[in-house]
Amino acid sequence: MRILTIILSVFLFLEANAQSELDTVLREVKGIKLDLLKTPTNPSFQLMNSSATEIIEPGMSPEFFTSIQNASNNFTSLPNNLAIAFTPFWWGKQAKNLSFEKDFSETNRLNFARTLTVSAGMLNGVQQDQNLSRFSFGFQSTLLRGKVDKGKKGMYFNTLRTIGNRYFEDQKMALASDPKYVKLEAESFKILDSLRVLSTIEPNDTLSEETLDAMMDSLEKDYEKIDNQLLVMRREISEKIKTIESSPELDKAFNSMNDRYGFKWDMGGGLAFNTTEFNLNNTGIYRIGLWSNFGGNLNKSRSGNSRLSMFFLTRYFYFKEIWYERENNLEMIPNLHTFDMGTKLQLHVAGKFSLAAESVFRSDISQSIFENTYKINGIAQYQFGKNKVLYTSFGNDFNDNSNLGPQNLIITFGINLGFGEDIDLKGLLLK
Amino acid sequence: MARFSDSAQLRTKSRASIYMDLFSGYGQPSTTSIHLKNAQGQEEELMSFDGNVENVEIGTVRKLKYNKIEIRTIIHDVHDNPIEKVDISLIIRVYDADLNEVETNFSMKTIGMGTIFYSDFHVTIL
Repeated sequence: MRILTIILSVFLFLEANAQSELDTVLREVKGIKLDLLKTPTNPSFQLMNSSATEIIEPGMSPEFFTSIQNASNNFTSLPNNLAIAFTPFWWGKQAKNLSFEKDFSETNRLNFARTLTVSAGMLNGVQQDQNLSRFSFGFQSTLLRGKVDKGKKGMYFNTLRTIGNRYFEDQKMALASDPKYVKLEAESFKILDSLRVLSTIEPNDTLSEETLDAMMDSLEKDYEKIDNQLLVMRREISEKIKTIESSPELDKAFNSMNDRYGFKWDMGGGLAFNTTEFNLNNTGIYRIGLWSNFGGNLNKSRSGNSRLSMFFLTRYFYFKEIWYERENNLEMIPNLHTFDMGTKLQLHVAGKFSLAAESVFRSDISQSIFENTYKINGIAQYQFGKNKVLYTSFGNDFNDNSNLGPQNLIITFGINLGFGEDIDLKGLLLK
Repeated sequence: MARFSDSAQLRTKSRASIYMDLFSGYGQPSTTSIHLKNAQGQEEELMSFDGNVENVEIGTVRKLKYNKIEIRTIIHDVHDNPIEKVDISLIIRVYDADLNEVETNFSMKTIGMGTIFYSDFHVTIL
């Protein structure tokens, strides 16, 4: 509920300021927490035709995130798009039964439910018409997430083990320096010694089996009592040990391990609505889509920090209607079906900065007057903090509406943020 | 601070071995070491492993009887879903060939991604 309130507040804030045309706005958002955000888009943006990138690297969608995006020709308007995505898997009982071995496998395993992300988005002021808004609902699942590198997994566990050993050493010292605990533990070992000796004695005329059993039962009861006392003391003493709750070094090792390699494959889909002045009578389907992204790294993920990857896209879209600009007139095409094919080359540098170029070719499969078109896009993104990703894209748009033909340069600028608790993000500048 | 301690006594008449299962839920990574502590206070690491195990042999009854074993586990919360906070959970079961068993079962809501969870489970073989 808190998260939804934050999202709603952010959106209302953006909407309230959308007319002010300020170049810069200073926002302070409470309750933003770290996450692992790497992808500069959200399936909902794709459906709303407002995505900074057309081809998403498979397997990079985090479990919960929100995106705020600004599409503008000159950076003068405020962000007008918002989308959220989350993973329903975590709400079911199956989450508790998920094993580490399955989730971080060294082999490429087929998934669907585990990585299924549901998203919803809203875009205000479509095609510069402030009365026209667009909503979308989408899903995306990573069928193949790639493989976890064995070496990186080993390094991660070494770091985790070191942190654990530090705690258990501290615990050992704390227990050893408590005279009461030491004395009680010594007593417990004496009982164990006595039990060991008694267990070797065979019953005889002076010591019957019943007597021997009774002695052992009594000793075991005494041991149980002492063991419980030791547990209470151990809990009390352990509470006083100062140790780390989290470790940036460990998180870094985890991120490195979780940077998977091998073949990756996503599939997604959904639908988007257009609405004028939020009136139900003026609401209708904008488009329905189904797509698949696949590909992988061209170099080995363990070879330094840079990574060159190539991805491919296949996508189907149904448009209820589009206004299509021809040489001398504007014509409406009803029930348009298109098929997209695309490719993306992406270079990640030092795990923080990435450059990508993508091209998508769109063809009409409904045999209308729609001519085949294309989109060529450049994308740059920078992870300026763990969980904070800034991105920009530039290129042309598909010629599937009257105002934005391939000849126009579209520049998108946005930010992806992870949500959570306890950490505030202050002074975020959006231009 | 996310840490838990527990203890139990496993009463065995078996002459075979002592085994254990360990499962950390929600796909959370864990690493575990098992130590044998004797009456002289000496400690010996019996084994260590990363992740979950099932039906792993800790040692023979001959070696472990009337001794304490300490199972030390660390879990790292690597998932973040603030709509419904993901728990950390740990189930450890120690048993013999006759299926006499003791179990500990910890579960908690974490304070967020990156949290480290420390657990020690002391089992005395009687």
